[in-house]
Amino acid sequence: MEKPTRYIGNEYNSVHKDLKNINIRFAFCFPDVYEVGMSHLGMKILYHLLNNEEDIYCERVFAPWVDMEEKMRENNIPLFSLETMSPVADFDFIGFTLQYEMSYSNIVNMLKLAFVAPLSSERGEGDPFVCFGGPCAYSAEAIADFADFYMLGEGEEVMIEVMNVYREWKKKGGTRFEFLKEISQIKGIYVPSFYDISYNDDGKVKSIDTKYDFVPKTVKKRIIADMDKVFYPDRIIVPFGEIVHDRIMLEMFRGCIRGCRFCQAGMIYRPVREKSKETLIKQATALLKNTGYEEISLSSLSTSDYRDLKDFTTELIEITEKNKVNLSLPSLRLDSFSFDLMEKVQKVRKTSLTFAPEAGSQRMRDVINKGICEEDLLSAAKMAFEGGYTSVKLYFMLGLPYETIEDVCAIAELGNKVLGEYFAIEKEKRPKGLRLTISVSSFVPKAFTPFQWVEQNTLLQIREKQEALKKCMPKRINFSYHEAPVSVLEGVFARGDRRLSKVILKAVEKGVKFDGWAEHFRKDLWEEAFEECGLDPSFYVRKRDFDELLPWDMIDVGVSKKFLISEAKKAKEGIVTPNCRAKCALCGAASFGGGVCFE
Amino acid sequence: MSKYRIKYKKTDAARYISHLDFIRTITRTFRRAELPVKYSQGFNPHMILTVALPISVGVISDAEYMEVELNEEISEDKIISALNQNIPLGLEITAAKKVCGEDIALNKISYAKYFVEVEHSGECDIEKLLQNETLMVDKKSKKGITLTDIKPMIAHLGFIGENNGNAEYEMILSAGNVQNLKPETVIAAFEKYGDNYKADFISVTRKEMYFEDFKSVM
Repeated sequence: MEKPTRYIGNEYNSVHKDLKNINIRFAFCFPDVYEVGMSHLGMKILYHLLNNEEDIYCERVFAPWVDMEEKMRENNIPLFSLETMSPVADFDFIGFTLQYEMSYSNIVNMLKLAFVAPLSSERGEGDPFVCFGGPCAYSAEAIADFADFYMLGEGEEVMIEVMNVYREWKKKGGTRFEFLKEISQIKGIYVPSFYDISYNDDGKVKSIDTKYDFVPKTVKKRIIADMDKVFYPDRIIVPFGEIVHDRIMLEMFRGCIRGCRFCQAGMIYRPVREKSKETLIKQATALLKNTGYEEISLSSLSTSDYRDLKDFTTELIEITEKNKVNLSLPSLRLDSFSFDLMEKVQKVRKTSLTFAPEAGSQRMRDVINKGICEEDLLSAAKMAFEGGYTSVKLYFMLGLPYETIEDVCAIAELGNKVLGEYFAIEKEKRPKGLRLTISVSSFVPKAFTPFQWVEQNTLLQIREKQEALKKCMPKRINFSYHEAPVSVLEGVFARGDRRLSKVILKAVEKGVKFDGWAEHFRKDLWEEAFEECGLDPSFYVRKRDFDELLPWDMIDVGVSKKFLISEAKKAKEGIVTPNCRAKCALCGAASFGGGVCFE
Repeated sequence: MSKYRIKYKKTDAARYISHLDFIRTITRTFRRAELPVKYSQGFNPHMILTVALPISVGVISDAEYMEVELNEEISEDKIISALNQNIPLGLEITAAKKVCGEDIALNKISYAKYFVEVEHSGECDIEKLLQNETLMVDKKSKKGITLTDIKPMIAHLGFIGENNGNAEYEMILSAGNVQNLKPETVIAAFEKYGDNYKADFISVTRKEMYFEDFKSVM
């Protein structure tokens, strides 16, 4: 079997409790393999948050890799937790974090491996409650039939509130319905079975009705108002084997001021809320001491937008140098300050630099509200080459709304201009062995973004664009793109309704799993499942009108539909919207009463 | 600068930690313990650490050895306690000593003692087995699998007894860079020379390692 340390638990800083003293058992499930799940910051936070409560024991569960799953099925071993190796069916709660749509089939597969009925309607008194959270939860109607409830937004407060209700409910000995009724009164809790969805003949949502008087018409996400006061673990689990992000992640702030129109994270995490420099330094120091990690990475959607970045990094670098710790600085805007900073951090070897212009032409960058112009990019490239970097990667998307073939070819032109910057430097002065890579992915429209109404490009359209781009791409550039049949399915789930639950159930019965792993994606089985359920994937990736009722309209992420529509209209005109600090765009997130809206 | 030889155990589920993962794990343990380990120079500074004959994944060990250089002298007791306070479950430091000039180098290990438990059918009389002039078994080496006489590599082979129907053996076998014999290969000899002997492994434990003439490593 591959990598047995995925299944043994006992890592340093994992929590051990005596089950005799435990009142509530929470199985925190990540629907992917250990190395991916253990890299997820949210799980690290919530695991220690729950375990801070004396009578709660939160244990971790990951999707067994295919070799392990086969052995488990052969020997009738149910899905188990890493801390106590208990069957997942024995827990009070089975919580899944939804980080990407392509993990949905794994959720159902894991429930089946746990011998827990995947459909909430088939679970009865005494069965665990299955709940969902995480960034996809706002629009995860595709898996609504599997959940007893969703926790929407940041979990640090709402999870504890739910646990408090559960403790009382368990003592009283109520019914499942009574528990769900009670927590549906907590802000941020969405109980999908309390809503009736009806459909028109054309398949569009006709109405969303609450089944009982006590059910809220819309459920608004939760946020943490004060990032300096909220719980953050001073220790995190240190795995034995190497995981994807094998380092300390220091969360600087939540949200992003930029408002790129394709970016779901940029909308759903609003408003921006920062931690103070003092909090960050305190957390970094404790985490380094308690983990022994040799690397720390700043975590946020856009490092450069942290207001106190200069003073903070100066202090942090002092600590990292003293402790022989590497500091990694992702998502920096490439200006001269960033180059100086990188220079300070990477004393030894220049690694590669990554820029994400996302689109090739200025027109397209205005459509998506990516606030950078060609000049910014070229001057950054120049600085990079002069600074000794030889490996530069540029990321773009294909299939953006209103994209023409000229926009596509502009990607190659931009690449050519970056090459030009390199060759403009005198031969003796420029670093040798340039490696310029252009990598394109295909755009998938997501709910709660200004592009939630647009049509997603078909595989054929994407293929044509890839071919066109390949033709005009300079030979000197490494051009990388891949067939992405999975992006259609991603698009379906990202804007799906709850009728898709039966398709997922059927596809899992046929054997789909690990859809995010190209080698395991079974397009054929998914097609069969759609066909047998009488649903057409293309229905979900079509263009929609602004007045169409959307399957996720009972959810409120704080950003108003009015704002999203106005952004969608401005996108079509190619009009940019300034960032939150430059000018408030009245998105609606100010209703949370904190963060950047009140700076 | 001081070099220390450290003896440790790898038990329970920790037996599944590979050598590379162990190095990563123990490096972070040293960092948490705040022991002044010496780092290499160069592009990618790393702790100067050597492990004697890393054990195979899945094998329990009561006697693993490593050496590490510290920038200052620290008492052995302090090293042991600082490490054990910061080490994951399943790993345990059992002894430490400062290495001095006359100590035999760690890479000169010659023997390892194993405790082996197998579930088996058929019989194999060890005395009779050892009366054979040679014991020719397929043995894996760097060159591939070759038919090899393993008898000279068996220093001691004893049957301890039956435990719940499983046979328990003690073996002292050649170990190290020159000759290395695994308990699995000895059991393969039982299967080849015994009376319909067939075995499934329950557990293998490395109990101790020795230098030439069975001199102690610590």
